[in-house]
Parts: sequence; structure tokens; C-alpha cells
Amino acid sequence: MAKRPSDLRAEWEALQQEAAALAAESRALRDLPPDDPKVATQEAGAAMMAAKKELLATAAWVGDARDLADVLLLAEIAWDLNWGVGTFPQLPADIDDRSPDEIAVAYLVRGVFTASIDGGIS
Amino acid sequence: MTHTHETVIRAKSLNGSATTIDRTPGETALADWREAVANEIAASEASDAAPGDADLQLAYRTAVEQCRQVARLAWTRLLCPADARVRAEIVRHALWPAYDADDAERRFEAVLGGKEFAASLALAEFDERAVAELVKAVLWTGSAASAGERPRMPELSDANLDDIYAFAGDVETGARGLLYTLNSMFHEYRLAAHYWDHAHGLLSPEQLDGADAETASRREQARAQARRQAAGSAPPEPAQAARDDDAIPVPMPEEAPIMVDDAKAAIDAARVLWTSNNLDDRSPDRRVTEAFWSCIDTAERELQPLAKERDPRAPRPHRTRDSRASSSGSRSRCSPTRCRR
Repeated sequence: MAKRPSDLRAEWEALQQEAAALAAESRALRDLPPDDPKVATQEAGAAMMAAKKELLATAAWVGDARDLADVLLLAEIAWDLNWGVGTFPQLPADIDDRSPDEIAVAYLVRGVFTASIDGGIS
Repeated sequence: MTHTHETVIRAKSLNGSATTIDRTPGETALADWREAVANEIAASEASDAAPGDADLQLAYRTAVEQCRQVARLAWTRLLCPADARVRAEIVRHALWPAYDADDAERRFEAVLGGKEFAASLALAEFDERAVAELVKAVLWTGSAASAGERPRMPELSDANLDDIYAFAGDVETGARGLLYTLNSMFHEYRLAAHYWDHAHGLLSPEQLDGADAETASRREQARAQARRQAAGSAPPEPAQAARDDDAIPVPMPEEAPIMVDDAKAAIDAARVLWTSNNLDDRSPDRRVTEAFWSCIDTAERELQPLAKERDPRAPRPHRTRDSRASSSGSRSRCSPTRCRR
């Protein structure tokens, strides 16, 4: 039987931490020349991170979402793929100037987050 | 969680009667939204049927604006988890307009990877798919959705499998990228070692002083790096090192261990996700399963010699006058087939 999305929570959070470390590393290396081995390593690591996230997302989508904990993970995945790392669930300051699609998605994800807090999901 | 009931009275314009309905605010918002969408669709169809009719175009624009107003109202409040359903319907309408029309519904299903529309799946961007999956989950798990409304959860479809297989393939490709970079680094490392051998074995430092600036710089860098390694945390080397003052270990690239670990972790992640979903048993097509494991095996096979090479327990490469001949013979290990991308 397929896992439920929330069963992947620990793996997802580990990936988020890894992604944050990669982003910090990228900032630290921005002054190095592109052919520096450290830059190549960092870029390879970032590509790998994207692939791992997409693989986890696909595994979550195959699972059976049954409650808010499941929906919350799907919301975080959607947020990550649409808005990037480290911003969940903070809406961008210029959210009302974005396209209607973006605004709708942002408020849906934010709504799921709010509902999960009210519903007692930690 | 609070469910505040309110009494909603809606006038029926056709017969003048009124109905009284007990609804939660979320149910009211949902009804308002659906009504606004129905108006928009009707206005759109009327406008399409009479192109150039200014009144119908105005009616359509008014209906669109009404939809936006209802949406903005929905975004300002969220009273209970079930109310997220309104936002999900808004997103579905925004991204896949007129979802109750056949084409749009097919598109939404295609994005979700329904078996019947698997051919369209490739059209869906990954971020779009993520939103579609979220919308589906909210609509199906919300308490407002009755059992009758809830669509049947699709079985693991060919499209799902293709998706997992494709992204497992991405992981495998990523691992290959790391392997390629690793190979390049080891290649550089071997060239440097080779140069160091020749510089150190065939020419004295004094003789090299007359070399061009670039050569001298490279030589100095190699020597300085070797000295740092020798003076630092390098483990004790074979007895030969103590006997030969010229024996200075040539260090591995410092990024190599990280990249080997990354590649191994990526392969492990692909394997764990595959097995944790029992995809060997659930796959309707044995060829997909075999291809997946073939990818994983290939990546592991290519990684193995590199992982072994950087294993701290393995003998560290050591450059001396006496080892010069043998070191130059080992450079061909970075073959073109292993360095492919």
C-alpha cells in the first residue's frame, strides 16, 4: 500500500534543511569563478536536490491524502515548487500585485496552513 | 475549530419566493463562489454567441469582476478547515477555467495523471501538477465533500509510474552528473600528480626556476598543497615514505568525498522511495521496474570504483621517484565511457 503524504514528513523536512544549507553555500561561493570545482560541486548538489524533491513530491502524490496533515505536506510541496525555499507560509509583500493565478495559489496554501494550525496539526 | 451557523435568505428572482437555508460561513462562501462562476460561464457563452455585442461584453466583464470580488472575500477569512475548499475551487477555476466544461475537466484530470489522459501528462509543468494535487486533496478531504461527491481515488496508473520512473531517472542523471564531475576532478588530480612526478623526479627546483611563470606557479602550488597535506591530518604513510625524503603524498580533491556521498545518497533516495511504495509489486509493466533497477545498478556500478578510491582505509596515492613509471600507467582509468554525461 502506498504511503500517505504525511508519512514522508521527516524526509521532506530533512530535504528542506539540506536545501537551506545548499542555498547558504551558494551565497558563500558567489564570488568564485564558474569553473571553480567548488562551484561545480555546488551546482551538481543543487540539481540533485531538485531531483530528490521532485521524486519525493511524486511519491506524495501517489499516496492517499486522508486528512489535513496529508494536505499540509502537499501544500508545502506546492509552495516550494512555486515560490521557493524558506518562505512557507509567508506571503510575498507584493502578493496583491501578482497575477490572479499566483494570488489564488498563494492564498490556498496559506489557507491550508492556517486550517492545519486551527485543526491542531503541529 | 468554530462552525458558526448563519441563516441565509436568498430571493428567487423568477417566482418571487424565498428559501431559508442553514449554512456555515464556509458553505455560504462556497455557494456564492459557485454562483459567481456560473454567471461568468453563462456571460462568456452569451458573449461568444454574439461577437461585437457591447452589452454582452460588458456583462461578461462584470461577471468576471464579481468572481474576483468573491475570491477576494474568501481570502480574507478562513474559519474552519472545510473553508479551504472555497479557495481550492477558486484556484481550480483560475488555473483551469470553466472546469465543468469537458475540455477543462479533461485538462485538470490530465494534469493529475489520470490513466485515460496519460498522454497529456507531459504537458503539465511540475509546479502546475503540484497545485493540481493540492486542489484535489483539499476537495477530497474537506468535510464539506460528501461521500457521493468524492471521486474514486485512482489506482496507481501508468502515468503515475512513468512519473516516478522519470524522476527516479532524474536522480540517476544527477548522480551521473556528480560522477562526471568527480571523474574530471580525479583526472585533473592525476595530471597534477603526473606533473609533480616529472617535476620532482627529472628536474631539480633550481632547474625549474628557469621555466615559464605558469609552470613555476603550478609547480609551487602542487608542492605547497602537498606540504600542507603532509603536515596536516594525513594518516601515517607506508614505511617507504619515511625512507624517502622526496615522498610527499599528493592530496585528493577536497570536494571528492562530499560528491561521492551525495551521489550515494541520491541513489539511496531513489531506491528507498521506490521500495517504500512497493512499486515492484504495483507496477503494471514489468519493463518499467526492470528499467528503473537497471538505472540504479548502472549508477552504483560507476560510483563504486570512485568511492573505493577515496576510501580513507585504502592506500593513499604516493608519488616518489620510484613510483613514477607506475603512476603514469594508471591515468587511463578515466576512460571516455566513464566520463560521459
